[in-house]
Amino acid sequence: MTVLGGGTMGRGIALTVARGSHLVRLVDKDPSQLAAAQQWVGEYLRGSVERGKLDAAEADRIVERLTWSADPADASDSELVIEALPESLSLKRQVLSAIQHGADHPVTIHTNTSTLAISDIAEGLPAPELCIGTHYCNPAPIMPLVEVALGDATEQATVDSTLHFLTSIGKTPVVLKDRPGLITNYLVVAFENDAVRALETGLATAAEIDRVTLESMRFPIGPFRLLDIVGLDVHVAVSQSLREQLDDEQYTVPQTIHDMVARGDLGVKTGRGFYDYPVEAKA
Amino acid sequence: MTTYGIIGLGRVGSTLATALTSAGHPVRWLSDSDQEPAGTGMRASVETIRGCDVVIECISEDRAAKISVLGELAGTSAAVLTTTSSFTVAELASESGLEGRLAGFHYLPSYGGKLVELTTAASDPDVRAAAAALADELGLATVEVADRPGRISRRLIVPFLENVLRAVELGIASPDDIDRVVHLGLGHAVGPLHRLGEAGLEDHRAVVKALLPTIPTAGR
Repeated sequence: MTVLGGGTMGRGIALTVARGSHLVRLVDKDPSQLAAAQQWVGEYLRGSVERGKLDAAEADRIVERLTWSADPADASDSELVIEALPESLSLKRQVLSAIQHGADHPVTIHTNTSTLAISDIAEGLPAPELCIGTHYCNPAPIMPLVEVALGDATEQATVDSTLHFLTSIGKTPVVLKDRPGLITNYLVVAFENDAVRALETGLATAAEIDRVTLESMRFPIGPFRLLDIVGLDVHVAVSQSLREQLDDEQYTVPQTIHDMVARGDLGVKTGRGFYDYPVEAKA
Repeated sequence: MTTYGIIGLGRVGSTLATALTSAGHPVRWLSDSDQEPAGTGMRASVETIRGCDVVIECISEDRAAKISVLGELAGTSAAVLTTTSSFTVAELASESGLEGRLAGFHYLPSYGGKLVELTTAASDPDVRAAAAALADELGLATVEVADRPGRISRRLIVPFLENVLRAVELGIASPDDIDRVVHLGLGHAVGPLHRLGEAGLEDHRAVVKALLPTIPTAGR
């Protein structure tokens, strides 16, 4: 099988699938992204071994199950393609269509989209009945949930094999209605935007709001820390896509976030977001 | 020992009454309910409540009812705390004649909240001290917050819960599956619909009604 896209989600999914005893190829057209993904997988596994969560020999076997490629055409030899490309409908349609056309056997498509409808992505594919949404939660190797969404054309055999596959790699699938944002992003992105708007009104500092979210509301993480980890540029892309798809004001990106992105303050990865990350600045 | 008067034995009031009684404090309470919950101190008259060291108002989020109940405490030496989140301490204090004698003491026991949002900026020093002492007695951390409707926690959780309810209405998944998604995918210890059920939907409705006008994007 093949995972398309070496970003945060794609590399996390590739690792999860390899850990589940499957041979998997990660494809990203950008060689530097591919190298970064490979490095991340190595570091993740070393960390797991150091913390005693993973046997060193098993870590080696996981690495051996992974291959790396910069050519999407390679995916045509796979029976299952898990797509974690950027959230562009035209890009996804074009790449996935080429893969199904180029294969001499049926290719099942799992799309990790979080903001587009599965029926829209499947439209125009040679085999839309083999296309289904499987949205992993970040970080993919850790969070057990996968939100599954069926397009209008998705056939039952695809659903059955998908649920079986997800369970085999240790995930808990929950089947939801095909709606942009599903549940996790629908809730979280609105919550984050709302918290930023509350900050803009001078309600409290980001640190105070995060503290109340954790200790009073008992959420596992505060909205500003979460935004910094996800990356403000990623948040803007997701939120804008949901704004378009759902026509809901809650997903209008607050000005504060636009300003921070313009300054290059994207969160943990740039060393500054709502908080400072001096140690991480090198990344 | 501090004598506590509690007005309203809903979820917050009963939690406080039970905790303070078991900590050995004399607890007197006023409630509309005919029930006499065990281990929560003694039912009392308004006159007795007026004589308590610290009075905690925990009735439901009804502005007129709160002002009326708080107004009966005017002119006493009691430190008065309100657990409201929907109304500002300033408006309740000025309309009930409790300027300086009232402080905000808001937390979310039905969520397992470990942090009290205090609103004491305009409160007398002894009232502030009473609020801090109560939090200490309950083993809760404190944070001083601005005197705004919703404070921080309700201001943020109400729109979140409204979206959860909207997900149910839209049929994105069954209530149980929505709770599973939030638990397994977002890492919340307890699903939001389970929490809403525990805390009572009427409570949520009352807070929504009080808060929505101040949250521009939260309307449904």
